[in-house]
Amino acid sequence: MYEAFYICASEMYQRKYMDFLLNNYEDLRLPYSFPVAFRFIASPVLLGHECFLCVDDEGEAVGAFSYIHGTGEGNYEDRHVVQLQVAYLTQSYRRRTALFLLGLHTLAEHLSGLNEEVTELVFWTGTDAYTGRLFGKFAERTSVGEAVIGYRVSLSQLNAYLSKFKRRISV
Amino acid sequence: MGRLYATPCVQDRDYARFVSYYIAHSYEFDEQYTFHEAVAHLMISLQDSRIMLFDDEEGKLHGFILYRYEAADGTLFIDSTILSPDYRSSIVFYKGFGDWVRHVMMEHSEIRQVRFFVRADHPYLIRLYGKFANRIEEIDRGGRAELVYESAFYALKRYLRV
Repeated sequence: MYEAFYICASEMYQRKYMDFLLNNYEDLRLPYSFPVAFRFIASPVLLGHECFLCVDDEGEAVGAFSYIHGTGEGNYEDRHVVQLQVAYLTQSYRRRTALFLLGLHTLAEHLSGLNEEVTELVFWTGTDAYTGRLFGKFAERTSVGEAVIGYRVSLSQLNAYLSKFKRRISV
Repeated sequence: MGRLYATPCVQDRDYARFVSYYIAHSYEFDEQYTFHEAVAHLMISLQDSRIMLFDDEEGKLHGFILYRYEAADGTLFIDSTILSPDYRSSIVFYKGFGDWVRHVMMEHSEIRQVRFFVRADHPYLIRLYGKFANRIEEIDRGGRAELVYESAFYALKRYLRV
């Protein structure tokens, strides 16, 4: 099996990104009303920020993630902070460490190569123990709620963490 | 062509399939209506609007009515509606529209009039809406000329035999 992450550089792939997440919407388990969740999914498309698809060797989407520059707290003026809007892999592709690391590497490499400086990544996850152990390996908890846990990681910390797995990330 | 079944959009999976359908069929409003315009419209509309879905017997979506109610003057606005070409017939239209009217009567007790928008260069819909509504205004929406039609609710109910 061979999977790869691609940036959705054209409308065709942005549509594929939207369709994929909408077709798997219930499995996303976003703890918000649909209108709010849709904003998370759609805002990277509208703002011209980036969406990524993970496709298998038959070209079928098996995962997606997206981000925007800036945070609500910073009135979206803190563009050096990137906010991950959504990240999802279909069930059969989860718990595959190499694929997870490849996705992180794709994001980190992309952010490191931008013309504008990005220093930090923030994101939220569910509250299950597995997710907590996974993201706790490289990110710092910033908030703990009933349904979501907030994290932050500096881009340099993320790159340092990923450098330990260079051989595992086959790019 | 079978019949369509009206279902109010309530559950997340209904919203998700509505959005997919809207984006896929938004070109039917206007060939110039872009993907990004469709997404932006949904982001704005979903919060305050309600949606009636029309599914076939296998649960596949073939149409919708996106609407909102303004209590101040008892006006229901139909912001947009699409019906798949295969189901565009008088029978399907009257039945579906009647199902929607019956539903909104349960949602709101003080509906006075219904307003809806149609492209100024869409002769088929202009003829259709003219059968039960009056043209009250021409507006510019997003650079496109649109006509606003209005029908008193009691008159619409009478026309649809509700």
